[in-house]
Amino acid sequence: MQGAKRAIDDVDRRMPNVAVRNKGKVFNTDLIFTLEMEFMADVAKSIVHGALARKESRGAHFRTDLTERDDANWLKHTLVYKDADQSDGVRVSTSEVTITNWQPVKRVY
Amino acid sequence: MQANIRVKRHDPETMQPGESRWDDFNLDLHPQSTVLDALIHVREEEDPSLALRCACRASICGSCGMRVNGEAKLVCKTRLAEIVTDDAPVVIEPMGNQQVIKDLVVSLDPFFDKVRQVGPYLQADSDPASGEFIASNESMVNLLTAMNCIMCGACVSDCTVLEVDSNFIGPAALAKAWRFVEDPRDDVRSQRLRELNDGDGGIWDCTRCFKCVEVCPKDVAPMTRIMELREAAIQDGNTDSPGYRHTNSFTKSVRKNGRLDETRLAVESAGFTNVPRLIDLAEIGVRSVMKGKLPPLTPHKADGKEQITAIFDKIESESEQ
Repeated sequence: MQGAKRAIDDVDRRMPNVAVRNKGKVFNTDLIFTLEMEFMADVAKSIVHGALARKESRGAHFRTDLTERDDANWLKHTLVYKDADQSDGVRVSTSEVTITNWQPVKRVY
Repeated sequence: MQANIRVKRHDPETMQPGESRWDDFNLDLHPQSTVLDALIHVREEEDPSLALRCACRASICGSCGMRVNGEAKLVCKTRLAEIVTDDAPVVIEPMGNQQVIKDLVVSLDPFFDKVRQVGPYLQADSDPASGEFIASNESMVNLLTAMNCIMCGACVSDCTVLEVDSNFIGPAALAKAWRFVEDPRDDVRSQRLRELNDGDGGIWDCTRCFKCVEVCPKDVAPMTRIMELREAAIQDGNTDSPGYRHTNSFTKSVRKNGRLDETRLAVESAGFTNVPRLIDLAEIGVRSVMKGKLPPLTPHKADGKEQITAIFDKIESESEQ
């Protein structure tokens, strides 16, 4: 995860240098793909920083150092904000989860 | 693998509609590459302004319909190694019969307008009794061919009728119409057949050229569906159409004379009460006379026509049993 963090932070740092070569206004896939890459980098960064903050394993989020689910501390949503004051450029916080029909249970199969 | 490709380019911001230029690219690609791989390579490495549509790259989304060496293809399903030659480049153009937006991208609005025109959804008179409509496997299995349609537009691109008559509903929409005409759960079958029979650009406008059957990447065989629609329309009582009269006159003439009576066919297809069409035909007749091309007014009779008549009798007596 530290490796992923280094990689995505590097992508994030280099993103302002990306240029769109095609200046056309009709069916400009060069522009669309560039915008998509920017969005993907944002999402990837949220995933990596959110995963680093979450000190447990839960569903598809699986850590080899913390293999169990921890409902006491981590039955929470992860919220990732862009924040220029932080050294990584993002701030991670959490919010409470409202459980309705489906109680969390251990995944056993 | 070395491949020379020639791509038809159109930039709506610098060119007039219909104007285009050819760009050649000499590419070094993996031997398994498809035409789509080549185009993506061009877009990523050579010219980011190249416009094309694609999505799944596995011939199921129907986005990448284009003309390759003059014929409509899904370019993700077309391997370069199978078509590349030393002497001529692989020529890639946008689909035909459709308006080019940019380069290889065409507008599919008219295509989907025509699909919508045939009411491409199940139309039942009442809600199903048990919460859902039950149809047997047997009654649905023959619809699978038409259900395979992925709306890529290849058949419409290469349709020789649409080339001269943009009013024709076209192979894709008619194959879709057939899919609902034959659906056992549908309650508006007769209405569908009547509209396809009577309406402008309907089932009788197909010239049976087979092009749509050839180019369809999913074996929908649209022309075969159109022929089945014709038969269904006649069986359902739609006998007042030039198409039906044409079929009928054709059969009658061959049965009687062993060959086609072209003069009678033209007149009978129009219908004896269709005065405007008959006046048109008279004019064509006069022009044919002047060029020495009028078919004989009394039909030639084929040798052994009795045997042909006997074939008709046999088929009819068998189908009556």
